[in-house]
Amino acid sequence: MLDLALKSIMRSKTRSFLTTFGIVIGITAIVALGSISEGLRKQISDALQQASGQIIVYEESNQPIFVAMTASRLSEDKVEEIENINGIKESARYLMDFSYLEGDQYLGQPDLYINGIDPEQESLLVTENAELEEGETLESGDTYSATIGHDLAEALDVEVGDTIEVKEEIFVIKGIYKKFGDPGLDSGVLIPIDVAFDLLDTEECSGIILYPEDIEDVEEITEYIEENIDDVSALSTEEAASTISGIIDQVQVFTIGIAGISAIVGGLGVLNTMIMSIMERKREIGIMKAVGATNNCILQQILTESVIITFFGGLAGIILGSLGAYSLRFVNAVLESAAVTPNLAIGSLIFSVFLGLIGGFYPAWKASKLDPIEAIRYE
Amino acid sequence: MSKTIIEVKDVRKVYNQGKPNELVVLKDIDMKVNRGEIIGVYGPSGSGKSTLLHIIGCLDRPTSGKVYIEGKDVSGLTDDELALIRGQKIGFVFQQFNLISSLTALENVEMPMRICNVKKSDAAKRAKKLLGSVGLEERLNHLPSQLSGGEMQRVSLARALANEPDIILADEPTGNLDSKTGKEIIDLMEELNRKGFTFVIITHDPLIAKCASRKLNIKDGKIWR
Repeated sequence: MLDLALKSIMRSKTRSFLTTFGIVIGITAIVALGSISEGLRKQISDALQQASGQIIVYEESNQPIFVAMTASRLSEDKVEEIENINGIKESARYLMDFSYLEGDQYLGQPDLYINGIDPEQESLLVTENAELEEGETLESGDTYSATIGHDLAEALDVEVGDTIEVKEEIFVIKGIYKKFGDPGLDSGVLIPIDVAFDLLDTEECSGIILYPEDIEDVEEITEYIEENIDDVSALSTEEAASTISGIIDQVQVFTIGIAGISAIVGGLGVLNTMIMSIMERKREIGIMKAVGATNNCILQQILTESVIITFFGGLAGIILGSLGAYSLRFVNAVLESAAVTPNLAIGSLIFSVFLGLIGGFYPAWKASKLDPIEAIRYE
Repeated sequence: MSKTIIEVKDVRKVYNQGKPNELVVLKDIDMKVNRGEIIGVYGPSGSGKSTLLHIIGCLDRPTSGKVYIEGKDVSGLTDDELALIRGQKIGFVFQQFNLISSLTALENVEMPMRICNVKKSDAAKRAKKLLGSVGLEERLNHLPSQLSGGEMQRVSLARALANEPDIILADEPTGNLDSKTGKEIIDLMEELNRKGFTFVIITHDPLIAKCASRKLNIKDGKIWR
């Protein structure tokens, strides 16, 4: 009876189109917003995987985490105390600060992250997943040499062998990293930590990155440090990621919830259209019943019509939403990873079919209960 | 096969029973229809003849009494059970034709078969044949609005035959037609009757009286012989 359902829908084309459009708008919103938050989640879980098993220890502060980590200074005693905890395989001290580029270059704020690190431990700071685009990493014995991030190199239009000025000192660029996705590296400059101490006029490092011998011990060591060593904060990357992921979950529920409301309004449109359609076709329904249609048969017929409307509305919404999410890439770099996952697409389609069933049910039920004699007499 | 195809026993139909506006439409109706008969039902308007036809046609239920279709008691059946009997055993022809205006002649005749889950291609084949047998092979894809009254009534006869029912119930089938087309429809019904279909026809038409095997007069909800 699918052909009969299609025929009924096509009978009032404008009305059916507008009803479908209501669903399209709702599903487009769900898919577009959903894909953005999926993208953010993916970015974070990627970053998490790249840095898994690390513990970052820095000075305790009431400031937000990123400010706290930059402003942090740990005394030599404290650093040694932390490094001597059992179960640590490796530790890397780093000194971190930010600065601004001379001239007009602009890469967001701040636009230059200074990372002082023992040249031997460069890979610990940038993680194993960061790859060099050209040149090489720092080596022990290097002094006024630097490796820099992709965005910074692009903004300054420099290559390996060129120089970069940081806090009025000139550094020779030894290597340039590929785009990584973390502004700390992409807009970062990595220099030997001893030079960084001089440059920033301090003898204390900002923090230490710890690698436990056994990755299973990450949480335990993190807790131990928090409880037993005064005035420091310890943060495992897992912990950080799950905190952020939780926030994104909430944002996602909220955004999809709002988009969902617009889809539900679309579903009300379906309800409205189907009620009108039933009124107009009362006599026809009576005839169908007279020639043998059961209540169930009428119910199915009407539901088929409403589900066709919402199914195709949902499909169009998924396509438009995907296009929308894709075009957002060109608006903001943060939205680059916006992705329509199969779950999101299938979920949206199921939701739209569900709207069709819900919106169509009452009219279909009413139609199925019509008294054939009365309905046939209806003009 | 039993001779009696329809049996109505002590049927009463009361609307708004027990209320101040109570209306007794049928009073203790008893009748039998034999296989292969044409029964002409006569009576003034409001006499209850349409209600009787609806009850025989399983569109309505009696308030009390029994209706047997091919020996099966249908008075206590559910909506869906009645619908199945309408679909398989009974064909309707109405004064107003009652074709679905958005469907072509062919689709209108296919519909009862599609409702009974006949495959689309089989339904189309049979619908073409039926429309051919009522002389409309040239009008298959016309909408009801493009057909004359006589043609519409032929389509509705073809539709009534779709699921090869045993009984055809007609409510003033010639009432909206001029006498010439009316005669054509009556001839067609007689021809079908010769093929074995049983007819119960409500009518005022004296021409139908001529071909009817029996006449029933209904007045004030009662059969007067």
